[in-house]
Amino acid sequence: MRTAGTVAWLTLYELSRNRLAMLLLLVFIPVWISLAHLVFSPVPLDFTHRSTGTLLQVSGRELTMISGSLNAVTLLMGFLMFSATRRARMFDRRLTDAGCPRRALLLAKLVALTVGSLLVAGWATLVMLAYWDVRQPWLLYLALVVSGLIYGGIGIVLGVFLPDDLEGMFTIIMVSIIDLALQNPIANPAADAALIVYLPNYGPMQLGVAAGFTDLVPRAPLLNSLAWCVGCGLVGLVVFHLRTRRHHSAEGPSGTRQQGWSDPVRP
Amino acid sequence: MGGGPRAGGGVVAHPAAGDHDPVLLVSSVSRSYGRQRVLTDVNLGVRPGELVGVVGENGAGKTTLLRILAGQLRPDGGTVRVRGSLGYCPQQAVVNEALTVGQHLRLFQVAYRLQNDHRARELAERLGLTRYERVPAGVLSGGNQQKLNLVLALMHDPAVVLLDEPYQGFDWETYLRFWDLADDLRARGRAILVISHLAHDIERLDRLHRLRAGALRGPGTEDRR
Repeated sequence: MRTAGTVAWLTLYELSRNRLAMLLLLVFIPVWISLAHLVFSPVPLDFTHRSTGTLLQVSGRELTMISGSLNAVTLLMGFLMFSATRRARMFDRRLTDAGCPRRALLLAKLVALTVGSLLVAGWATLVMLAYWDVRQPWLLYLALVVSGLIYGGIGIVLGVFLPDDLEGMFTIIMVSIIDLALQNPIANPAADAALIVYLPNYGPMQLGVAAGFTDLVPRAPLLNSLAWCVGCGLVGLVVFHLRTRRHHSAEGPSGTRQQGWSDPVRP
Repeated sequence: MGGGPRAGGGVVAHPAAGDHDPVLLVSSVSRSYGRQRVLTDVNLGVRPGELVGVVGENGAGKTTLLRILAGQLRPDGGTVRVRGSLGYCPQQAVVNEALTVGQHLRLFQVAYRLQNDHRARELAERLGLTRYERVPAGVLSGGNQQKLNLVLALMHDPAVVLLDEPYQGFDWETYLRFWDLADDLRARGRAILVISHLAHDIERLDRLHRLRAGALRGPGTEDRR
């Protein structure tokens, strides 16, 4: 428990030291949402709200604010977790070699992902509320939190494979653009193709629209988002397990001598 | 695979657990990357209190061998056995740039499950790292990052120490202090395997092995004590 607590605390500390992410948090999120509010027209658009089976007439401006805030949260959390995972690859390996339980490292990443998503989504929700009297603010907050969790999870998975921040940022931006553009009726007037339900931000977008324009709390997008979170979590878990496994064990608990030989490493 | 220990290449006869028997035993280890065979037949034994060097040309497979010994890489053939705890100091400093020196020591103290940080503090003091306790590793010089790298490998007082060019970036004073530390470890009965620059360090080693054509052999495999 002490190990898990120390690792989690230092992982959070490390995230807070990411200056680019902090700059994006303070500047990018309010600028994006403010521009969406100022630039886009409030002309009503048809939005297919699949999770409730209704065709909603929504303001293009406010729909773009939802889309923009999701975009900002996904980019920020994706980059933050990608960067932290990539930089810690060798260091995590060293910690597990030293005897740090892998579950403590995984728990620390989970804590960082959750705390990061709660804070970033909270900030984005507050900025949104400055411009728009949202019908269900808590549901909007939930939409942004799960969006952050999903893209943070994607960031962790990418962080295991991609070598540099540039590749990671580029991949996350591309995925996020495809994801949200396909669901936005301004970019895609139909925006109702069946494939849309498989996009990572499908659940958060549906929840966000329900929060902004209805009094409903749809369950299907929540389950969809949960499936994405669990999927990313499982992939991350397997990859992390493979990357940090040891091929021989020299000791029991680190720092204590084991009598006799370790199991021999064999091909 | 695995075969028993053989003659040549600094090999030890059998893995009995006496004080003078090897605590690191490598038998017939091989490793390839695709079609390129890097290690073909490595045999080695290191006893408590021994300081053993491995030299070889660039690309000879020194780091591959050390990563296999550290358990980070699986060999294609052969066996590696370690008796007691292991400390591995990689060639490139593996530190977290966002964390301070003090945070590194605290983190590894809990990872190694050490009761206190006395040994870590002593090592940091000996290597002149104490004054950087509150400094993030990312702003340390290359030499100071390497000192931290070394402290993290040694702070749990391991029975077997694997050092891959551990003094890269050290100034002359620190370089000398490093060898004092190595002598101290040897006197305490720790087994040390170091990948070393031949020019400076050959006279400091008990035994020197030359890694050539994928095996430890050649005229450099002599007992220097």
